[in-house]
Amino acid sequence: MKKLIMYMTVFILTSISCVEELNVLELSESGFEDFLVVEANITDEMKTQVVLLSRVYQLGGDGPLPESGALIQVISSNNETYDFQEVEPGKYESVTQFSAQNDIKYKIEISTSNNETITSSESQLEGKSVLDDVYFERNFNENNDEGVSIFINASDPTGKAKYYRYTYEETYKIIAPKYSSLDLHYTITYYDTYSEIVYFTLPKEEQQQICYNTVPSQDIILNSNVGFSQQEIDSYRVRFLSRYNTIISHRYSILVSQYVQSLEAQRYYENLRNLSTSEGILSQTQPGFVNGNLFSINTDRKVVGIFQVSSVDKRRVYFNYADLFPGEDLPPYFQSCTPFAPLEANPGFFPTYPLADAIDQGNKYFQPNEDIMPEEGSYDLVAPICGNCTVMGNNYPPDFWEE
Amino acid sequence: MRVFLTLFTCLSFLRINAQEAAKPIDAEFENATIEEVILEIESKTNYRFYFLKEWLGDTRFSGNYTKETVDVILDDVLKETVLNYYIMDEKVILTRNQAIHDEIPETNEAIATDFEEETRAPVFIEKEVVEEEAEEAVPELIGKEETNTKQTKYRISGYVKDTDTGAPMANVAVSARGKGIGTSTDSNGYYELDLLPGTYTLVTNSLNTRSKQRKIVVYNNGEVNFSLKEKFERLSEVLIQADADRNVKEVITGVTKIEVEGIKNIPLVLGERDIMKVAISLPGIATTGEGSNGYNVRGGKTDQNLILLDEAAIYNPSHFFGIFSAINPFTTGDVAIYKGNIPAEYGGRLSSVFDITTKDANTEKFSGEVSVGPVTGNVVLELPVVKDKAGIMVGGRSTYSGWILRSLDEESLKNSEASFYDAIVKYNHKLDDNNDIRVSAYYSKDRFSITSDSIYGYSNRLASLGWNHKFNEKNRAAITLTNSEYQFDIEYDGDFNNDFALDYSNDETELKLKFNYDQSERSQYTYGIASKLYNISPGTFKPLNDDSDIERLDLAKEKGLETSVFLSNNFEVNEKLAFDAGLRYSIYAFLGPGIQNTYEEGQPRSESTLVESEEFGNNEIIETYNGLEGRFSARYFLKDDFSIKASYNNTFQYIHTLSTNTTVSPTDTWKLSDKNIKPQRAQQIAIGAYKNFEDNMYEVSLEAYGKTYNNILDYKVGAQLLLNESLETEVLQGEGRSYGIEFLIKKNRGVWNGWIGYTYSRSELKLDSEFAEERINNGNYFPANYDKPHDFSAVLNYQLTKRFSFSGNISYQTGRPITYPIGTYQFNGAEYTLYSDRNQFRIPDYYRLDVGFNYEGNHKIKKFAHSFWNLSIYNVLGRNNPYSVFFVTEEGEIKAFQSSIFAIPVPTLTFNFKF
Repeated sequence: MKKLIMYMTVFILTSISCVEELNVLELSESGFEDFLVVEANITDEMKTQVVLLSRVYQLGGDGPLPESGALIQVISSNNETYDFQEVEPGKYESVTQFSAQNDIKYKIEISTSNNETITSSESQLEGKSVLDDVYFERNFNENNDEGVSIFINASDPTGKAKYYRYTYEETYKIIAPKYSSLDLHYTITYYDTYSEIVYFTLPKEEQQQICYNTVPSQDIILNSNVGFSQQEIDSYRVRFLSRYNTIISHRYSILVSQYVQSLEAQRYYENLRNLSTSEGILSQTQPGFVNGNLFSINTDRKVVGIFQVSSVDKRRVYFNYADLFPGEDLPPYFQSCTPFAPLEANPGFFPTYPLADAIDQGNKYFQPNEDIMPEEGSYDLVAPICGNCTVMGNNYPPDFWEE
Repeated sequence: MRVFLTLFTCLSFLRINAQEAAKPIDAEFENATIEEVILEIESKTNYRFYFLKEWLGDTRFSGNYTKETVDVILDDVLKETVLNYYIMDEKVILTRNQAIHDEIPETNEAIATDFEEETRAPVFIEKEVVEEEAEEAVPELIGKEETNTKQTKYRISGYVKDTDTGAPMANVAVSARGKGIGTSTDSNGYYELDLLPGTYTLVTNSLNTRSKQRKIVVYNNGEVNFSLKEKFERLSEVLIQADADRNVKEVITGVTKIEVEGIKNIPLVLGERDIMKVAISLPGIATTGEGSNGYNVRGGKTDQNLILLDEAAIYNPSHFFGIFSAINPFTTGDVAIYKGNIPAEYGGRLSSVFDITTKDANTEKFSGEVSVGPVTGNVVLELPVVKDKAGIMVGGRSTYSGWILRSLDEESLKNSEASFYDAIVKYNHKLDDNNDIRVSAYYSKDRFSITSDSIYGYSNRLASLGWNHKFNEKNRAAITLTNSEYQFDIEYDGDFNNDFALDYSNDETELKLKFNYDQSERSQYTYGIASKLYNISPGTFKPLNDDSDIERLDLAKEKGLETSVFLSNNFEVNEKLAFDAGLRYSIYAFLGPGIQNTYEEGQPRSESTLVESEEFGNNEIIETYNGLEGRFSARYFLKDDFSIKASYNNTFQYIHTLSTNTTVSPTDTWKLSDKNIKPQRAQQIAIGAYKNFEDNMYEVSLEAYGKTYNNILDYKVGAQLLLNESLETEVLQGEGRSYGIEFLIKKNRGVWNGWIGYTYSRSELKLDSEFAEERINNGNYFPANYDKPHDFSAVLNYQLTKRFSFSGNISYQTGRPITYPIGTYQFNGAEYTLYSDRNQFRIPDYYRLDVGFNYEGNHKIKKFAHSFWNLSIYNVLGRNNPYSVFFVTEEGEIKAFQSSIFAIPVPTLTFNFKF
């Protein structure tokens, strides 16, 4: 009886609450609609302005799905019309260069190949702020992690700028840590009853030791000076890089773009950020559709995204790890680079060639194995990224790069 | 009467023959029973006796007769009994008390000839239509009627005692109704009345007892004893009596009363008898889902219910995700739920009042109740402190799961926690006839693991102090002081250096002074004043241990004072029409210390539009709101058992909960109205028709209501509520509307009993604004989180015998609305999830069947305890009812989870006993 009661209690407690994962795709399928996604930010730079169009795709499905064949016009309140043309699927550029002007309102009109007509509410420049300085500092963040902070200082001569959004593009130099100027190759010759493998090294055809990678920011970084009396932004941190982040190992550059945008755009990005921030099981975020300022004229389908007009200022800064952390260890590399030496061949009725397989998988030759252990071959290999930086970036510096 | 006389005439005629047939016999009886005497006579004569054996009794008789006629012998034999006889031919008919007369009495003549002497008249019982209680319908027969006696008056005497204590009661008037004869009891409770033979109604009367009447037929001297109940108990009896037709008689609409004794037979959840579970099986009261906190009453939000336990507000009346209610069923007297018209004395919540009263302790003898179930044990003890005046009740309920989990080998369960307990103490003391006081204290605590690395705990603490005073027959006062606290905390102990503890608590103290003035039978007033102080600690977030890198965060406390005055009048215009009208005026002040943000005028509130932060000192008034509330209800009887009712009321509420219902954990917090968040308001109209059938055996009611709401708190898309320092930027206030029709049929007695309820209701919200971010679903009405159009429940009992019964419980509800992620898109180089419109989808419908089997121990009065076994199977169909579907973004990927409770049939066996 005692046992029975115990069994019963445990049974009840374990069955009391049950959290099981559901198939999101199945749930979402019935509600799925391939709404148009519009990404349009007309700036005050004189350039060919860009509008991106794509479609919503299934959760966990393949995307993005570029939207081709649409007609796009940006219309200004002084009756100027700027036509756009598709330069690659989903990417539309203005036929002529133009820049957003102060006190002029703009709106967008899109008609898609399936006859959806979409327009936006009007948007205009909301002041201009000058990015006076972008600078770096070795310090600690609020979690007490050591690293490098990228700060900005900005000032607003117009006195109108309130809402700021930052994006950045960071470029960093990569030096492959286990680099050899030689590559290991092999040839296999098949005979009637046996095969023969020959390994040999050749000088590399291209430089794979020093590369440069450029990555745009994905985070939504927002700031506002509402509630502050001065129109200056002082020491606002746009980026923190941990000292253990590989990308600052050698030379690092960041191009910070500061957009001055409307309240509408600001709130749109705030919502987007809140909804996409990783949610714990305890935090509550009210999900829902984030309204932008775009709507369909001839259907009741929703339009995702926002059309905005903003002023922009950009500034670049460089630093070297060695200057900030003199004499200190480099951050760990992207991946462990311990050399390994696969056997050249496993003889037998069906011989295998572990070394050849490893080469085929992109592993790089590093050096001859001078201390051969059992089950080892005579060449030390390293993971691809350790001996070939082109896995991560280009082997030539970008145009703007300054050493 | 006419029938009786006809028979009488026939008999008179026959009597003559009978007497001529009388023949003398010899007989000898030695300590013989009457039956033996009769058998002897039958053996010696042709007489045949007609009687009921049970009349004969144990009387013994001795005597010798030689050549005596049977009637002489019978006169002797039956002298000491209440039996009479009548001889007709060779038949002897025995009668009890009554004599059969062979002449029509010549009353008039008798009076004329002998005026001085009161003539004896034979006693005939008239079959009256008796409207009193059933027990009085059959008159008691006193003494044995004698046919030939000179005595004209008989002495009826007896004692009057207290029913409960057995003490004699002095100065109780005992009178024969309508006869002008009466006396009163002496100090021993003794009385005597000299009455002519005949039918009387004896009535007792005294100031402090319930009046009692007994119908008697006087044949001879005899004893009539009364036992009376004190008057204060009479009131409750009157209530119970009135309960039978309460459905149709109650003046206000939408009131539900649950008597705890009556719910014993419905199937239990894990062996727990649960008042709240009964409540949600009635129309108009629902929960968002199994295992969710709170109740949605008539399309209202869960924060709009004032749940009172002995007048103190209880904020989370549930255990274990709401699977059990935190109200101990053994200590609970009854529950009144006002979902339509809320009496004016209550306020501060929009949708309903749950008035739960703990029963008074037994002041006469030690008693108790024990229940042993698979999850909990429950013990309630009642101890008299001052006999008949004061008593104390102590009740406690707890799970045993704590030690079971700890003793398990299974690693995954060993470190988990799942336990709760609650305890209640009530002391009641009747100081004198005009004063009584009561003190109650209550505490409940829950603690369980919600994930493998977090523990969630919460508690309720209540204290209530009440003093009732009677100034005179017409004026009474009650003063109540209550305090209650609700608190929850979460401890997270994970693998990284982010272990934290999160705490939340709110506290309220209320002083209420209420007066009753009974102007007349037809008009009663209730008026008074109440003041409530709220204190909320919206949250602290702190590192759980030294290794944790979490930075401490303390949210500023909130304080508010709500004061109200109320007046209501229950007025009976005539037998058919009655009104209940009330007014309530409340004024609310949001008090410092605190910081209040001001935002740009005409812009949506957000950190982007923050203009200034203003600081306020302690008790400085930051903002005030006030409101006048009307409560009006009328009832009209179309027939005795058929009434119609209508009501209107409006309500104000100064406190809101913050809940998006999107996670597994119930971390709802409360927020006071402040500069930026206005009080919520509602108004309701309701009409209903109520009919009882077959002497109140069946009750049928149909009610329809419509409600509108203002300033209902909802959330912007992307809102994060927990530990948010500027909540006003995340919330929206909008309009709401709900309407519905509720049908209930109830069978109160019989082999089959129970009820069937069906509700069709809708509840919708509208959040419109000129700003896109403040507009939800394009500014159109959309279903609220708790909008569940169809709600059906049936609770049925089948009483097989007095001791065995079966019960069944069916419930069905439309699944609640939910917002789903419906797709992915790329924007600015990153992937984002696209969500549907707010509450565009619904989770699957909910249905469940439970069955129960009850076995009651025997009902012998002298047995030490009454026992009761219950075997229930919860969710017989094993339906996997999801109570929530929620989404978590993990490493950029969205995942959907469904949580459900008891997806399998759960059998439980519970044993109760009561002494």
